[in-house]
Amino acid sequence: MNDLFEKHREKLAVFVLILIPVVMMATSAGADVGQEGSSRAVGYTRGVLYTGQLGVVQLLGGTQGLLGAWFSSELAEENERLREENALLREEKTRLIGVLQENARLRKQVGFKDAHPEFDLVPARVIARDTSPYFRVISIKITQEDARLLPRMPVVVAGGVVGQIHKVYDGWADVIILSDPRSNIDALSQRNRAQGVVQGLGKERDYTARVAYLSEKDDVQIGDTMVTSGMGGIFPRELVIGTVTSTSPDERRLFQRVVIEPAVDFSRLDMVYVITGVERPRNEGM
Amino acid sequence: MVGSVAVWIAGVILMCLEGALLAAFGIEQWSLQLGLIIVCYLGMRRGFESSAWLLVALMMPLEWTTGGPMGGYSMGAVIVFLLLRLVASQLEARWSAWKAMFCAIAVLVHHALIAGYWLMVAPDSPIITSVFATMLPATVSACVVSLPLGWALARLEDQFTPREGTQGLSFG
Repeated sequence: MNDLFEKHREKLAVFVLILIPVVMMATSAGADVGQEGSSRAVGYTRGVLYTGQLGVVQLLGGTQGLLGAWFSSELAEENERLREENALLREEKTRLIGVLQENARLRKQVGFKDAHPEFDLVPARVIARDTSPYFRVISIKITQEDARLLPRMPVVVAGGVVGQIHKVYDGWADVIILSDPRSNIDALSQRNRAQGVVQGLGKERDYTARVAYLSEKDDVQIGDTMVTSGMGGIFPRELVIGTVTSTSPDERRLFQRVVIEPAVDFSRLDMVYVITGVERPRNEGM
Repeated sequence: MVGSVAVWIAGVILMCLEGALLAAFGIEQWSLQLGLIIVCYLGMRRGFESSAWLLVALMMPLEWTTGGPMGGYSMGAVIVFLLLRLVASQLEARWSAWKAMFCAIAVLVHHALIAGYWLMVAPDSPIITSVFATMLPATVSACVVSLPLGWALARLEDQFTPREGTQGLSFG
């Protein structure tokens, strides 16, 4: 038996190499968004990796001021005489701008919470993104201990829709943002209620998405705001998705080709909110 | 053995670090795909068996950090690994640029495999366009990063591989 094993060790390694991805593919949700819970061991292991990533993000946040000062002094070398004074002033200015921006951002978030008392919002911190160039996934750390998250729950910020939860681990989650090619969000035009589905394009240069299934007869103009329709039961109604940036007729003359720019700047995401529940007003659906 | 463990730990740290840094600096459209470059390193590494088991151990972290549907990215990585082993065993590439070039080709092949996988899973998905659109930047970054990363991983392994005639870790 041992001889047989020794003789075929390399073949066994190749077999296992091929078997594991096949098993993964067979047991995964495929291209669908939202994957049900994983085992405790997987959750624990991922938690260790996420903790490391959170540490890096926190470390970078802490050293941001120092980096700012370093860049400031590099610029100030042009004027030797005023270098120290310049660096000091710049550092102070950078810090003040940072504080003001942070303040404005927090005000905005508080404003969002106040403006939507019907939502149960769970705050979360962005700690990492995917390392592939074609998927658009962010990892978040849930900052509320007792929060119970589920796959496909909507993720938003004050500016609008971010995406929806894909996988949940203890205290952590992966979020597929709306520019990911797997993302589909039922939407309508705020101006004339023309209905379509916002699909991510996964483009390498921007976060644009397209609005599929918009009929040729629908009047869609550049600058129109697309909002969530509330259909499908995932997203509540009237959350801003983005603005139409281009429209053109489809070759088959059945639908239009509409591209939108998301309302959220995904490159500056820091804190996000997960909508864990919606209090429905009387006589109104989601 | 210890060298392989060191490469695995370094690989996992690098993949996690890449994800954290990309998020921290707000880079969403582009990535180095260090995981894939590590697979290329394994494809050209000494010892088929240990490299294969190392890839098996790296598969889950690779899937977690790439964010795609489970299995597709790993299957592409396995095929790239096996192809690289096949090519590497036929060549005596002393010129470093060859290694970088083969890594770049491997990344191209991986992108083509991913596109093929999506054609089967969801033929209408815009991801196929996205995969082709990101092919060139990914190839260029693989070309640039593979040499320093490969060198660093090889040096790391050397640190954990006792030379012949020495006692390994010893104060004497």
